[in-house]
Amino acid sequence: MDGRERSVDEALPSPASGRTRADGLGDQLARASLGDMEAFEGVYRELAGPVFGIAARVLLDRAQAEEVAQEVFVEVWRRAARYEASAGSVRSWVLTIAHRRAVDRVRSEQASADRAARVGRAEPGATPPDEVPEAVEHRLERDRVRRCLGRLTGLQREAVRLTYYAGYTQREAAAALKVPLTTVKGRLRDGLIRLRDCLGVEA
Amino acid sequence: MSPRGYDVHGLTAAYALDALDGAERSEVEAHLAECEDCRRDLREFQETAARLGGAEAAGPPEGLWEKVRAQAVRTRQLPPEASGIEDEAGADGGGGTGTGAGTDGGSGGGATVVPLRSRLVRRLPWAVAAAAAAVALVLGAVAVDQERRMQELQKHTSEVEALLAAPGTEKMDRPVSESEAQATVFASNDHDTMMIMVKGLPPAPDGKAYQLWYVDEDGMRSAGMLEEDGEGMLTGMVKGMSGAEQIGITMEPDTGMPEPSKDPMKVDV
Repeated sequence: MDGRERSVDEALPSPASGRTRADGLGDQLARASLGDMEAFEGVYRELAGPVFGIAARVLLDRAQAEEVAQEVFVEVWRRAARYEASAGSVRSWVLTIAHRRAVDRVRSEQASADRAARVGRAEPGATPPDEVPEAVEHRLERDRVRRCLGRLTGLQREAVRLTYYAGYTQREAAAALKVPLTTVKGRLRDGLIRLRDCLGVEA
Repeated sequence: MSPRGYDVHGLTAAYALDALDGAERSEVEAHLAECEDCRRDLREFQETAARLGGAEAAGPPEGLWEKVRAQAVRTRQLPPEASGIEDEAGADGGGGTGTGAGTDGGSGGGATVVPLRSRLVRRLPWAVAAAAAAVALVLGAVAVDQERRMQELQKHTSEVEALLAAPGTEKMDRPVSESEAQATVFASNDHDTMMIMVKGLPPAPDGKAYQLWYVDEDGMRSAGMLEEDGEGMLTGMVKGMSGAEQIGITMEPDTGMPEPSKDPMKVDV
C-alpha cells in the first residue's frame, strides 16, 4: 500500500499552480485597491474557499468562521493598496491574515479547557469531508499536503498541528505535548522546513 | 540577546505559524525589520503555511460574498504606504536640519502623529472631537478589543486633524436639500478628502443608517456611511471625490447599498 502510494506521488504534477494563479490575483488585487469591485469579487472567488476553510478548521465553528472570513475580506479590501508583492504571493498574504484572525479570535474567545476539548475532537486529517470543493486540482493539493505532513516526525507533526491548525501558542503546545519549550521551537522550525521542501515552496 | 534571553532569530517559523504570543510577535517583527535572511525565510514559511491552509479549503457559506460586498462598499480603502498626509511634516523648520533630503528610506513604520497646528485645528477642536465621538461610538458598538479601538480612534483623529490642518482646506456651510438639515464640509484638494458633518436629520431607525454618495456626471457611487455621535451629529469622511460636485445622502440599511434606493438629498461641495 505504502509503495503504491509513493509511485502515485511521483506522477503528480509539480505544485506550481499556486504561482501562475497568483499572477492573475496580483492584477485583480491591484485593481481592487483602486475601488474596482468586480476585480475584488475575482479575488474573493479565488480565495473564499481557503479563507473560510482555514478559519473553520481553527475555530471548529462554521458561524464564527463565516464572521472571520467576512472580516478578512473586508480587511483585504481596505488594505489592498498596502499589499507588496516582494513580501509574498497574494494568496499567502490573504491566508496569513485569515489565519492570524482566526487564531486571535480563538485565543481571546475561549477558556482553554473548552478549546482543549474541541481540539481533542479534531484528529489530524479528520476534517469533515462535506463542503470541500472536490475539484481534482484541489484534491491533489490536499493529498499532497497530507502526504507531506505524514513525512514529518510525530513530534514535528503534532507541533505543527497544535499551532497552525488548533491555534495554540508554542508554549501551550509544549505544555500539551509535555516537552520543553525549546523542543517545540526546534520541531516547529524543522517541521516547517521539511514541509517547505516537500511542498516545493520557493520564495 | 533579546530581553527574554532566547534567540529571536529562530522564531521565524513559529511566527509564520502564528504560534507566538503578542509580546513575542512584536519582538520578531522588530527583528524582521533588520534581518533580510529572516524576511526571506518568512516568505517561504508563510507560503508553506498558506499551503497548509489551502489544503483545508471548504465551500464558503451562501451569501457571504453579498455581505462582504455590502461592507466593502462602506469601507474606506487605505492609500498605499507613502500617504500624502505626511507631507505636513516639512512645513515648519523647527526640527533643526530642515526638510531638504526627501529620501524616505528610513523608519517606514510608526507614522507618529505630527503635531499639527493650523487655523482650523485651533479654531475647530469641536470638529475633531465630534468626528472622534462618532467613530468611538461605532467602534464601541462592534466591541473590538480595546487596543485596536484606541488605534482606530487615534488614526481617525489624526486623519481629521491632518485634514483640518492642511493649508488648502476649506470650510463650507451648506444646506442639505429637501430637508431642514445643515451640513458643514471641510474639503482638501491636496488630500482629496472631505469631512462632512450634518445636523438636523431625523435619527435613523434601528438597522438603518445614512449613506453618502458621490454625485457627478456619471451618476452616483457610494462614498461611505455617516456615523452618528449620539447627539444628533452625523459625520462622514469621504476620500477620492475627484470630480464630484455634490454629495448625496439617503437612508439605507446600515450595511450600506451599492446604489441609492431613492433620489438623495444633496449638498453642494
